[in-house]
Amino acid sequence: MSKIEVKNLCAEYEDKNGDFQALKDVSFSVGDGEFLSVVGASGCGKTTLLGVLQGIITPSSGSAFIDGLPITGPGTDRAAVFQHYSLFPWMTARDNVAFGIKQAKKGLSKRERHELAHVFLKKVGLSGFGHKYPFQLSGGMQQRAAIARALAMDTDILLMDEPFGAIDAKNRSNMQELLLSLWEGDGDTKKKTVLFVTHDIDEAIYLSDRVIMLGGSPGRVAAEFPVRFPRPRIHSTIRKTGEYGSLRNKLMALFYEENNGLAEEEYTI
Amino acid sequence: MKQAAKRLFIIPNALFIILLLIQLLPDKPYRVADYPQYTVALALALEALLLAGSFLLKKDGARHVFTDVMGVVFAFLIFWVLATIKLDLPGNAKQAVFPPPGAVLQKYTVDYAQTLVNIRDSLVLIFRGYLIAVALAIPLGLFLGWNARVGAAAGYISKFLGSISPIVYIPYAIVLLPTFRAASVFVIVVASFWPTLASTMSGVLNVEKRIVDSAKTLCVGRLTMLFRIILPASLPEIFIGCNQGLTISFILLVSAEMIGARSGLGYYVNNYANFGNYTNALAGVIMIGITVTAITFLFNLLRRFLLRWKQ
Ligand SMILES: Nc1ncnc2c1ncn2[C@@H]1O[C@H](COP(=O)(O)OP(=O)(O)OP(=O)(O)O)[C@@H](O)[C@H]1O
Ligand SMILES: [Mg+2]
Repeated sequence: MSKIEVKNLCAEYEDKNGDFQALKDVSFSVGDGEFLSVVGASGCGKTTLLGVLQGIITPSSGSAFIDGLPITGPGTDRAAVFQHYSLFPWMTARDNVAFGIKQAKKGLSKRERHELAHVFLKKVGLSGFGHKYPFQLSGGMQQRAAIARALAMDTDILLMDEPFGAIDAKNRSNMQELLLSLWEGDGDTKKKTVLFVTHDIDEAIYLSDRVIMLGGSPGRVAAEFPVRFPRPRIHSTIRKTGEYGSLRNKLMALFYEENNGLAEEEYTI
Repeated sequence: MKQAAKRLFIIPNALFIILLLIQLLPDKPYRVADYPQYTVALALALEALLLAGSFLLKKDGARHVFTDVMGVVFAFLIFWVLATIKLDLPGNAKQAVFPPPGAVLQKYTVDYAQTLVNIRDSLVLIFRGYLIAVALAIPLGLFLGWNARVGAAAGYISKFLGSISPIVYIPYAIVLLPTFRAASVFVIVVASFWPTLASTMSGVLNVEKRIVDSAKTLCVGRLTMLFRIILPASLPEIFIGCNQGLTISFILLVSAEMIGARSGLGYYVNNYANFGNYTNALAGVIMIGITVTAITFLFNLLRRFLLRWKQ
């Protein structure tokens, strides 16, 4: 059985001039333990889709299921990294992570939560920054702290919205490795199902078992590509293969085709 | 060296010297006894404070504010001394109404025990009333703001009730409640309740959606949502209302004490003014100013501490 199942999902936003349809008839599923990336142009509804899966946006029709049960609201089986930093500004980085742990894992003492928070801040390269408030951290550091919070919650499902967008190349590659290792589950954490939104096609290919392209407005699933490179993958090695090149070209071509009209509208001066 | 000179040659220090020098001018004929030694003592104490501040305060901004305030205090004292005992101004015919600083200061040295009792009595009333109001208004505001439907109706009602000046309650409260102290506490509760409630509700409504969403995805319970997310997120706005409430409380309490109390700062001023003792009355007025300033200062420290996470 698939872990996440999305069926004929439509989502609308209430607008001053009527309703705005953001998603139309989106259907796909994510297998248990699968790493699925969602790519697509800006404004095609990726964040909206994650909002539905997080349980904070109610679909206008269609539905989404987790483990076969319809989503009716947020749940501690899912952890989210938002596109825009979602730390609580009045908590230090450590307290933010510890707060997430407290919500997801009952029965830990305060001290254990703080220690665990430290472990995860260290994993994302913020070991000296636990006592800082979000306003004292750079954008990329805030994003890494938010990632630490989601990872530390050790949930079945990770919903990530462009989590590495604000992070520099070196940290980004560290974060990718970290994410992959936690996805597979090390001794302390369980194997996860990941839904990962990104703008970076290379990142999507490198990380995922499958890539879904959303396109158009209202957004729908334009295409779906399995990524069959064996793991562990090595970036530089898979990039040289012909399979990588053709997959990348197909995705790029589709991306431009899907968003042709859109791009011209948006960039006319 | 240069640094030290820069911190020494500032206008407030010049004003301090002028304040000392004008003591040497001859007094005008004067009916109330002056005690220039107290003025000089105060000037020296203030100057010591000024010097300490201008060398110990590290941040430029804070130091400038501090020295500027001290400069204004010195300028005011100079004006006060000149106007009351050194220059022949038309108002000097009413010297008893405008006593010089030395005379007022001397009252504190004689009367300090009584003054302290009055300050304490006023503060006890303020804190009782204010804390009751805040303890009621913040949770209620959180609840009403969070439950949008009830909140919308409550918003209009509180606008109406809050727009009635709490001064109108003073006579009723004094008649209806058994003691003056109970009446004062009641008026303070009413006066500080509305601004705190209004700012809490508006703070809740203005909490960013992404913060609420972020909390929702963490599956926080109702109470955690209200007190660990919504409360801190709206705290900056809540403080605006709390500050208003505190200011109104002081104004009202002093007015009420002037009408009906037998202790407190307002009573002190009114009582001496009724007996034509303006030196004591003025001492009381200045004491009210100092007390309010000190409380506001402490209040701001608390706010800065609780909002230390804000840029
Ligand atoms: N709160 C909202 N109210 C009204 N319309 C909205 C709202 N949020 C998003 N939209 C609209 O819904 C569409 C999809 O938005 P969404 O945020 O899901 O896009 P996205 O794919 O995440 O884009 P990006 O890659 O830029 O993050 C957009 O056209 C946007 O204008
Ligand atoms: Mg988005």
